[in-house]
Amino acid sequence: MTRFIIRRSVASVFVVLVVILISLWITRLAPSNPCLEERDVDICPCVQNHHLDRPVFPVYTPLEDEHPMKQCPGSWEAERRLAVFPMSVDVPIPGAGDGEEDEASGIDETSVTVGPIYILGPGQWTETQAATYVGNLARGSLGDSMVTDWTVGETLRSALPYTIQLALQSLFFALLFGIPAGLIAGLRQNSPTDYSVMTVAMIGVSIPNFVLGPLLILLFSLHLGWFSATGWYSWQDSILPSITLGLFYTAYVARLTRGGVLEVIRKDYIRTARAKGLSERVVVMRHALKGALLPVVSYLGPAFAAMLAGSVVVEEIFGLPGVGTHFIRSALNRDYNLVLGTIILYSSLLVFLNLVVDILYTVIDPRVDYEDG
Amino acid sequence: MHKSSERTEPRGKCRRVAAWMATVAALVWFASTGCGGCNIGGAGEDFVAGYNTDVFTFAVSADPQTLDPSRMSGAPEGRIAFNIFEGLMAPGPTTEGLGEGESVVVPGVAKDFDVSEDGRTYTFYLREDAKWSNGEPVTARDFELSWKRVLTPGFDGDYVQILWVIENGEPYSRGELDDWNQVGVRSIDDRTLEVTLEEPTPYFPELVAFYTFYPVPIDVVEEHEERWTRPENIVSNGAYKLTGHRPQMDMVMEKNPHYWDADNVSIEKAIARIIPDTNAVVNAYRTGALHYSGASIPVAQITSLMTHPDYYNEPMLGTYYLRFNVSDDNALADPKVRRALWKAIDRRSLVEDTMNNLYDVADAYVPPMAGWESGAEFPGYDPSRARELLAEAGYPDGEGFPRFQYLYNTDEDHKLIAEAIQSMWQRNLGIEIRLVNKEWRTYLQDVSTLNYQIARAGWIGDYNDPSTFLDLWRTDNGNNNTGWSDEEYDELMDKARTEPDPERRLEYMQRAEAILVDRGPIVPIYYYTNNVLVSRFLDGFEPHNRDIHLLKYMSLRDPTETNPSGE
Repeated sequence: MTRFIIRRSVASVFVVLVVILISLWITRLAPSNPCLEERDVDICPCVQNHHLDRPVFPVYTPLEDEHPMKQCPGSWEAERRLAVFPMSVDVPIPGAGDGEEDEASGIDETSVTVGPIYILGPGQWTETQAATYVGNLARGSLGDSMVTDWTVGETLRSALPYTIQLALQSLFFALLFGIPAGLIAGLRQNSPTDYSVMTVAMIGVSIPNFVLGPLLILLFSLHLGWFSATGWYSWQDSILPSITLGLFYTAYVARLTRGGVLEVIRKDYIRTARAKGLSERVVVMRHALKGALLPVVSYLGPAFAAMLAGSVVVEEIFGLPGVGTHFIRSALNRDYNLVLGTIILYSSLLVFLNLVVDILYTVIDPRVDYEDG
Repeated sequence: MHKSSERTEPRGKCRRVAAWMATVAALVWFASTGCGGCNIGGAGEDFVAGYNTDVFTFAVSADPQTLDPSRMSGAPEGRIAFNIFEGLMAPGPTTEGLGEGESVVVPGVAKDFDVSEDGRTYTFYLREDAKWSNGEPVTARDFELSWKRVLTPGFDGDYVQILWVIENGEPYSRGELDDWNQVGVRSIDDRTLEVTLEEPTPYFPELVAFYTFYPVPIDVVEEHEERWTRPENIVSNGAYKLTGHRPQMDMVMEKNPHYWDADNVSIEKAIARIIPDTNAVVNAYRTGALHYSGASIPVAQITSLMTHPDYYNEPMLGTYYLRFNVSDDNALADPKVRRALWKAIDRRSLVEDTMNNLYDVADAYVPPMAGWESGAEFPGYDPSRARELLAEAGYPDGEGFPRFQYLYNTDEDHKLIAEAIQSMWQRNLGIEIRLVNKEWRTYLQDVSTLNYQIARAGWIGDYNDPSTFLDLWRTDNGNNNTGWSDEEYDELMDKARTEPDPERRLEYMQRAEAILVDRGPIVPIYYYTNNVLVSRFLDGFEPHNRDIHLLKYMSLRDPTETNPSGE
């Protein structure tokens, strides 16, 4: 078991590192940059504070000369004459290779030219944006936001409690309604009750939260005035978001429970329990339910992880100050550091929770053994 | 399967199914009909602003990038800065209906000022009782040091250039001049600040009421660096002080007891809630969470509320226009083509039909402001003349006219305008354009790198002077972004800049505007207005064309004392 945990932990660190590097690359590929403002401002202090004039990786394609970030006096490249090896690479376009000319453009488009690609000398590798970022990360810092005056750490710390509470409440909601619904449906298989419960569950799985959320706001906030429409100032404000986020999982839990009940209810030990003359209540609650809930329990981990990361849309709809809201805003603002911080948070949570779930499997079901696998 | 339950099922089941159907029917009914008499606590059409909150609450549209007045730009930031800081002058309660001798600004930290004969030297006399929120006096030295900070080379501020009106401000800021003593700011003593300007600048009193000119507590800034604006560190000199800030949630302002005019400040505490989505703002307002909606609300959401007593429309110092990229060697570089496109746009229909009459049809480029009359002859809507012009330019009936792209940033209102213009050009000129929408940051980059052909644009003035609009189109202006350059225009603007006589100065600018309208790279569409929701129980909220509404002028009446539906 210990070996398994160590192996998985090491693998997890690698997964997160790869996620970071890919995210670094992708965020910089998005057009525009965090320093740009609506009015003409001197972007150079911002660009240089955040080293945005440097290459992201040791292998890179330089910015075009007229790119605004290259206009700053004393930009990184201008100061350094690097050991660079410029070269162009023709990358063939798959499926476009029969040599026929594109009629519209009149150009033979069988490949695109990438480059010139520059490769930094090893001496400069530590000066790339990726190296700086990973270096800071190793020292435990997620860096400063590139748009606001807050550090990424502070921002995420202020947001995470909301996201976690929302996910926990949604999970609670899902179990509170999903298990009884599934139980009732399972015990009355193929009855109209079963069909109606499962129909509702089917609808629950199918309605996307960006439809459900506004509908709930319309009904309960605007028409009935029971809840506030946006923001999170009291516990009541989290009820509608929790339902919106939890409904899908409620429905899913109901289906899992029903399946579990159907499987268990035919087992020998249930028949034995009945034969002993136990009341139906005791048979269901004490014997059947335990077995029927196994699939639900093993679903809890992935469900919780999915709720943490899946609350992005719900937070946006209900204007909650959680991690998801920062994720969206930072992406729109091109706040690279905050985007990356959020991604790291999400991916670490997912990887960690998956690890926990795998470990818990062995506890729930002794047949699972990772040592030999 | 469990037999006994199956046997006892039928009757209970029927009832349950019926209950389900009733619930579903009720939900559908609620969702489809209006409120129909279920008016609870003001929800529904008769809502009373802010009934769900006991503190004055308003919305801002984004988390502030910074609360440092020297570095900021943007509306949400300004909304806070104008209340927690104060400059030598302060924005007045209104910009409309000003009488003779009245100004858009009123005395702030300075109780009075003198202007020299040549209009270049201002001497401000600071009031004795101006204090920081920690009780320390605000001195002329504070202003000098704060302005020096902004002009320090490499200072990461958005509005640094606005301080270049000060003599030698630009070379100092660019690092070409090291000697601060040559920059035109001098604190004579604690209470007297002398400012020498590069050129006569009649709008300078309004500039010093702007946040880039605000004093910052240098000691606190040096001690806490970029964390100095946190509620636990910040020291400010305005009517309010910041006591709370939660990212993406809210900011709290409380009355500053050390403020010199604290006796006349009525609202004790205010919450600025950060709500980026205008739909959510309207919802929050309807459910009584807000007293004031803050930013202007788009057509789709405000239209149904235009008859509500809380609906408020104020003129704005801003123009919505189209810009043409004339730097490429294509049809748009031909003034005749641009004039044809201009004349084929029915602005009246755009405003009245497409925009539900929320805005004011532009009849010039510079929006109306006190003391300014446009001198330009403004071309109207004339489809047949437009067709002639296009034919003269070599595209009879739009034949052979390139299929240009029309760029706008993703937004409902911009989309409506773009589609209307697309169909007008199609109908009147027989030309096709392609609409391209991009999200905000990409749009900004495309415009600033001239990577567009036709783009929507808007400009909100920084101060009540036509130069804030006309400076844009000088060849070297960083906001020009069209590649348009006109020697005569630049010359007129240069003359206006150095002209000490206000009358003649305006005359130069009128002539410049006439050139812009005649052959410029733009088509003005409408003048912005602010369409907001503001509680009818809020007194002291008056129209301001730069959307500056200081809390210190406002007071909140108790809605229960009067009849809420009495209006």
